[in-house]
Amino acid sequence: MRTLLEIRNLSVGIERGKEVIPAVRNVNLDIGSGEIVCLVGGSGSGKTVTSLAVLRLIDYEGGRITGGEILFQEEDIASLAQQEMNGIRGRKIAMVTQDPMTALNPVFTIGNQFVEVIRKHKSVSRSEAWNEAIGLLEKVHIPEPASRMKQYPLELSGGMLQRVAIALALACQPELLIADEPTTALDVTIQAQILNLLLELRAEEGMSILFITHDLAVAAEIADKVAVMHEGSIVEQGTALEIFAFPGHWYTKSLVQSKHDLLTSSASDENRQDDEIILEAEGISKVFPLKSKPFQPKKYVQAVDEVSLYIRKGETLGLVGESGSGKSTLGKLLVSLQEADSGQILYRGKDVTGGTKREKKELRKNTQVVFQDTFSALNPRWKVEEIIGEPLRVHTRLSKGEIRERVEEVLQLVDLDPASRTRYPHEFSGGQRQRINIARAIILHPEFLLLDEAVSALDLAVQSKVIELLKKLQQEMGLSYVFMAHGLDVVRDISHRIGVMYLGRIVEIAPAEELFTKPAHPYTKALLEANPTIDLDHKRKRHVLHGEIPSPVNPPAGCHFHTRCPLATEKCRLEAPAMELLIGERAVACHYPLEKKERVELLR
Amino acid sequence: MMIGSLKRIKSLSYRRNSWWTGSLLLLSTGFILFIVICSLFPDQIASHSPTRMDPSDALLAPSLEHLLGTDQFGRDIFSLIVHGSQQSVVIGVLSVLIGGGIGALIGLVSGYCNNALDNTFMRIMDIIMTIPGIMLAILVSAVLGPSTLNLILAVSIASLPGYARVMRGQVLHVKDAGYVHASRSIGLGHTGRILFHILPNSLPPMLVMATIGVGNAILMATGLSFLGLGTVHEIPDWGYLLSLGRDYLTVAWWIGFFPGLFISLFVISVNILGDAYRNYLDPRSATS
Repeated sequence: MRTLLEIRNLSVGIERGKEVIPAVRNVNLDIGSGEIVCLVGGSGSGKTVTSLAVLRLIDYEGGRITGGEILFQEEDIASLAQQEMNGIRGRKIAMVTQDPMTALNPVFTIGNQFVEVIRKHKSVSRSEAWNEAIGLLEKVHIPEPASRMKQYPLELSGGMLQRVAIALALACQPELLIADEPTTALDVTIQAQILNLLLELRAEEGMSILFITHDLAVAAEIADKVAVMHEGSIVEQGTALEIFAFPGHWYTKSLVQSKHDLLTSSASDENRQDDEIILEAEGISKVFPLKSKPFQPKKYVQAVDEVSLYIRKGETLGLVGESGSGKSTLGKLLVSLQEADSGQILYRGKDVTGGTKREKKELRKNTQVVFQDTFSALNPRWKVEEIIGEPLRVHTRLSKGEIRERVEEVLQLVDLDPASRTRYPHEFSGGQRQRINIARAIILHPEFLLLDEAVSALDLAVQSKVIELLKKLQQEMGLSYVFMAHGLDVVRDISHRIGVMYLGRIVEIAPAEELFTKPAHPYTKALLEANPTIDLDHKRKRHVLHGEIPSPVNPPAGCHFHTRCPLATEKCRLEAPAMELLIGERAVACHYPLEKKERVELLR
Repeated sequence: MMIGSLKRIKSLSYRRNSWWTGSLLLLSTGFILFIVICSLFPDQIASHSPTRMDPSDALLAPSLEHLLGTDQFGRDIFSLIVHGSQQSVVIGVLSVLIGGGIGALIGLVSGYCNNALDNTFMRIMDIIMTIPGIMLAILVSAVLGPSTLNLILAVSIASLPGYARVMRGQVLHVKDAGYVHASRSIGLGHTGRILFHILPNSLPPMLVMATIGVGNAILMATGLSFLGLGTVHEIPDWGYLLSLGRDYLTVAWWIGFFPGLFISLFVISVNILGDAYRNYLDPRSATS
């Protein structure tokens, strides 16, 4: 195999005033033609800086290549002038970024953006470029490419946009594609589609891919070769098999280990203290009106549709589902941050929908929320002690000294230095900020915590530590959690039971292990199959769910899932299946469940 | 994720020259103090009586006797500026306080409620905005009659929509921040959320706007005085001095130049001071 890109002893520094801070040190990396190389590492490890250096875009980010060379087809990119780079960028090396929404210009149609790029690099007419673009969109499997060309980025979903971004990168048949976390912002199902697409394109076009990710499992799915970065250096590289089966460096080991931990340890039933039900929802629904044009019928989004569930004391209920499935809204309804349109929410057997102000305040005391965005959830102008002490000031009449005491206590509980109470949120890392969020949530000793994607924005290693903390707190304080995340492994790790949501309905709910090993609903099965694993026979043929979650404005009739279900029949198109108890705590809403009631009973 | 830390490094790399900022701050504070003293004790500072006219001294260039020269009536420009400072400062600061305060309140209510009330407020602001500021001020002064207070009111009303709109935008943005939702989930009521979370985080742009507004207010008041709708005492304010100097610009540049210089310096000083205060309030800028 011919070597396409050779990075030799590359060092990159970020200029800070007069000094240059090293961000990447002595990186050596080869990419052969037609090869997929994954750069894996936590945030701040220098993955993105390396990729930006290859494109020499680092010059615009305040960085400088301080040593080494980047040989692309035997030409040293590190010593080229920016002018000369313009001939390489886009034409020979193209890039796909994490957020496709910001990668495309929102005020131009998809078609115009293609025409601009194609005509920049080739001398073709507008209509030729237009037709070429349609061909590119077909290549990335976008349905009805001709009509998409006239749409604006805003009108497409995240997954579609990422396909468009990839097609745009392919416009000049580059020899190297740099993909920087291209699937991180996407649902697992869409992630699997995009990964498949990249593999397919590699096979068809023979291009090389430098794939950057923080997720080991994604790397295992796609990579021929893996390089692990830590603190600016590549600590280990080798084939995917070598890295995942026999990790050598301690950092790689810890990465692989934390992924394994997630998979093997799941919350056991022993932790559960009793069968007392804390929170119960009975047929709750929530509808949002959409802004409509005058003289047109008003449209509605059915965000949550007749959902019933219960949470026991000391139990974690996980909620999974693609974005747009109504998880967040359901969570907000459960803690009365939003009012349900119909149905009942019972807290300790008492209906709390439409309560008085005082009842609401009492409920707020016992149910707390931890949000996903660790930074925006903390008032930037407040010190940590003010932030964590806020619930005490709202609900109690403690003196300043007592509040300080409680704040220090709770800081210790979440493994933060009590002395850090006088610092401001921006002085902490993401994981620490999430600990502050948790500290604020538990200071009143609530009974129920809503964890809305609470660990999704964190690095894997940090994530597992926060999960550990949450488990510890659950045991010590008997907390009940509703835990939402789009990473399935994390949910499996922390949850006792898991509910699967699709378009506002819960389609299956079951104890975590049973759900993962024997899914009953076809959608659950599809979700699980889309979930990347570091299983080493990763070349296994996977069943990728086609299409995307339909718009909740016009959900399909009957069973919402019938449009993507391989088992769908006429009955599914007409009749919505009711939730049916399989056994014990397993329930599924499907006409043709994969696990039949009789069979489950037989096996018992 | 990586881009985030890149940005962090970049923001660190922008390190302000603290010596330069420090001395600028010192100079501005000194200048503002000087103006305040001028407005409180004009007689002690001024070298001449501002009302003393002497045709033989008319249109003299700056000299040791007349530091900033004299005008067409032979009045000492420096003394005029010192005596006029009181009115200028009062007009500038008060009209910003009134206009900015009421504007911020309207913006806060509008942004927070974001309903029919918001719509009503904003349409009223739109209507005010369609009338050019100076026209509106003329209208108000004409109806209420010429006096310093009415002048201040006129300038305040004309500046209302700008403040209200900026504040509303800020509130709309801040209202959706995680910490506001978090405080709701904790159980904090509307008032608490507004006072403790939304207001402090929405004010910084208002502060910047207000510091620039001081200069605008002084100049707008000038226009009104010029049209005879302000208060033309025997001692003109800075703006009026500036407009007087316009006629003599070719023969005696100092008549217009120095009042203009004082207005500019005052505005810049207030601006620098406001900026410093904003940074002082923001914990994020303290550590970098």
